[in-house]
Amino acid sequence: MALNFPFTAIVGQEEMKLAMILSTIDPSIGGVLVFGDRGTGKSTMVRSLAALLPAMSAVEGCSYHCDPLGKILCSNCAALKVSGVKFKSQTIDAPVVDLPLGATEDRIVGSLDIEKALSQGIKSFESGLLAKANRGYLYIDEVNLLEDHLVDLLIDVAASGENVVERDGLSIRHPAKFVLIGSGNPEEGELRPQLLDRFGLSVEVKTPSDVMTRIEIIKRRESYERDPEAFIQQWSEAQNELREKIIASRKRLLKVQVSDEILIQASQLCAHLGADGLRGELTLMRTIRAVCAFENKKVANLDMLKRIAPYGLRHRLRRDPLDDTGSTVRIERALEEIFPK
Amino acid sequence: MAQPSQYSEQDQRRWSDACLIAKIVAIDPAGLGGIWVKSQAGPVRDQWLKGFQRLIAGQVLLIKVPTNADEGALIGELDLLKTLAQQKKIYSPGILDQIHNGLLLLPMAERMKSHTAALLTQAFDIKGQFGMIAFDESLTEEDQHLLSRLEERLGFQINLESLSYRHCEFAPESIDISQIRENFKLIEVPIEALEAIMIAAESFGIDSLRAGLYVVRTARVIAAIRGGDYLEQGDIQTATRLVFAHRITRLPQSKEDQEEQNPSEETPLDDLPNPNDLPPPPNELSPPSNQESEGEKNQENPELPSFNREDLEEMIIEASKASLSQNLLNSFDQKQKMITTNDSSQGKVGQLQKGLLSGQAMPSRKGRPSYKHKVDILRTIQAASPWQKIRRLEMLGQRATAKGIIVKADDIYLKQYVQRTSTVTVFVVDASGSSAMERLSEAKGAVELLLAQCYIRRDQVALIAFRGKAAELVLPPTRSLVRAKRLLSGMPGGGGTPLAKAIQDAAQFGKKLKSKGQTPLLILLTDGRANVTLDGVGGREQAFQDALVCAKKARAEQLQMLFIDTSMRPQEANQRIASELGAHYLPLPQGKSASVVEAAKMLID
Repeated sequence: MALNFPFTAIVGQEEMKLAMILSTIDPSIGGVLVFGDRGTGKSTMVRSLAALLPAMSAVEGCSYHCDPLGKILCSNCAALKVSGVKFKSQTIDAPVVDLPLGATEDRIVGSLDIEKALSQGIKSFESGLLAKANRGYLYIDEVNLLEDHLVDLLIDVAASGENVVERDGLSIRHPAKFVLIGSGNPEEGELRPQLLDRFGLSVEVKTPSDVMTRIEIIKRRESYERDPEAFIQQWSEAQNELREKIIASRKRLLKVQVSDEILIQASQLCAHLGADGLRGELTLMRTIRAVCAFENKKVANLDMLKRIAPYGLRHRLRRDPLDDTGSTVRIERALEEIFPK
Repeated sequence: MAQPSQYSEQDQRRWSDACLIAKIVAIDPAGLGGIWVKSQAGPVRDQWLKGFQRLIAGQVLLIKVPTNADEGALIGELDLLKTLAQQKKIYSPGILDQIHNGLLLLPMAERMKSHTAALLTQAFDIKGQFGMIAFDESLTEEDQHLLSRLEERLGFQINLESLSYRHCEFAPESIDISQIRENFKLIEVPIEALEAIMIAAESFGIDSLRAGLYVVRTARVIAAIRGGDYLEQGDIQTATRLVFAHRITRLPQSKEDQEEQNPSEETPLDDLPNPNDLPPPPNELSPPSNQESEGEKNQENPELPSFNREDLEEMIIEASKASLSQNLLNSFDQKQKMITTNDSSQGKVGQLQKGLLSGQAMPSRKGRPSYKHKVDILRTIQAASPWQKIRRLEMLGQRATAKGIIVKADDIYLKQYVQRTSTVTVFVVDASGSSAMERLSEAKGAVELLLAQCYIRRDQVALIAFRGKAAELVLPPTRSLVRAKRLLSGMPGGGGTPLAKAIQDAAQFGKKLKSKGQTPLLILLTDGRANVTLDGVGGREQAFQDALVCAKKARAEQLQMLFIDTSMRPQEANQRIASELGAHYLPLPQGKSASVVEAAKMLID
């Protein structure tokens, strides 16, 4: 495996870090959208995520790495289970799959295995990137430049967690549950609201302007490049600590209590902002729970809601295409109006 | 034309820098990304490339990647023919699999498709085993531009434009690349130098953190080429000059200003421990040629040279400044604009025409499969089936037991699709004095309403403004309507009305869009009253005549056009221009921009 810059060694970008961590604690939050300039470490952070994710067990030889204990299985594994065969499981790293901008439909959803079809006359399915990303992460750099027909594909799969292939005479469905991570530069174009909605959280990153921060970044990067192994070794303790914390947070997740009061407040906020659909409230609730678990608190409170509201709602506001008031500002304003101090 | 007699010191330095950069990149292609070579094809570029090839001959791989290289060629693909012949999966390796710390040569990189660039940059980011030399042959700043995704990752830029062939000689000199590669990695970079570099980057307005990293690496490579095993000030100086020169977006404030403005910035820095804070070496700003002897002296005396951060910082800034020519400074603004926006305009080049993997289906045709096509399996098998018996007989003895259908390469049919191309709405807005007086704000209102329409239709928009003597592309095609609106509302008015020039430029721009496979829609908002001729001189009558002529010429481009007359009362002169243009003429009734939008909407749809 290629070496990656350690997650914990990334300087600054706290918002983005938190959003990423929350999405690992509770994947059902539904992905992170990162908007910002070039060279701010977006890609670095996503790729560093792979090393941070706890390893998981998967059915050996399954091309969708099904969870041996899970309920959602691909057709092969499901058939095996029915026939009473015990799964051989193996431990694998959680997949982080890159979706290149120009990927073809075939590569994403999978297609008829042309080789087999032509050489042996067998109709078989060659799985694509969505299969590879099952139970892991799917990263799309420059997501706002993605071709429309690919966006359509993603929208459906990201919502249903299942990839249904009905093409080339194939009829196949397989689980494709992944956390979607997108990054891009808003100046270059906007995302379709439907796709925006599929992302649970969104963050805006900027190049750090503080000179000392910038120097620190370069120093670390420099020492990483000089000797990646040693650098990773140096940070391994911090990495392990964070990984342990994530695992512990996952366990705590279900014990966190989110009172009705908080839910009502979240709903009020969404209604006030005119966020479409119910996904806003759902995300807020799940995110609050994840934050509580991460910070080892049992009960959620209003302050938390205030803190995470921008993450969960920023990209859900219905926007006037010609009004450039930042969404964050609008959310803050709404928070002040509804919950005056 | 540059005359040999005027061969200036600056040109000389440009060339020697180009040669030095070639050497540096040969040592560390993956770490430094590569070189952005701005030059038309010509003897000077050939000279440079030849020198470069000699330099790396037998040591570093240089593979040429044609602009139309497809995914298969880059990352490898299933070799269909061999697979068919041998009845098992056989992959052909891609260029990126073979490159092993070598270099890719990308001719006509400005025409590269975003798909190809995405593959390259992704491979570069993840595996990082190669550098790129991108030949950029774009003629003007406004012309096609290198994809910023690519540009960001290339460490250096060299400009060979208008250099004289006679004065350009790539000194034949052999360097032991693998040896230097070993050495430069061991060179330590003092913390002070890192700090100085980053502060300098900050003061030059270089946002990307990559630039800083590239300077550090470059400095180490330069030191290693020199044969030293530690950094000297000269190394850092040269490295900064080479990496920063084309990235600078503003000039640093002078020291005093800076201290006045942010006194707090200095304080934390002073706290830094700097144990060997010796006075700076006397040769601080001496030319690099003196470095050699200094280096030797220091080698006898194993004490490493020490750096004073502030001196370094100042030196770096001076060094980078010196490499700037005046016209470069003037182009900062423009450059900023081009770099931030070109992606959206270029991301679509060609793809709309050729991205034929979706859309309305058309009959299949014969051909060789590649990533751009989908094999029409049914049709292919159909084509192969009549021959099965004969082919089986042919193969008898070899693989008589072969199962399935025997398909040959020329049976293969490919699916074809057509796709509607995207529309770019180009607003050509009159910002002249007369317009400003009357209705500029109202026209802006109309444009905003039209913009909202564009949003619904997911069009791209571009903005051309004209006043004084020229028309200017204020906003290259983008999907960001917010930017269009912001630019428009902040647009100053005043000056003459160079209508002829505006029509000419707009038509040219429309033609360019068309050549990229997009459908341009030009919306011209003006009150007419042309009073600046094509040559940029005043004169109402001549200006009007020029406008008519230009309109006639523009009509030949067969562009869809809309002429919105913003004057108080519909003008006959404007109607004439509109009819010469073949444009739909729409007067803008006072205070009723909405009705124009209604009319425009009908036209657009």
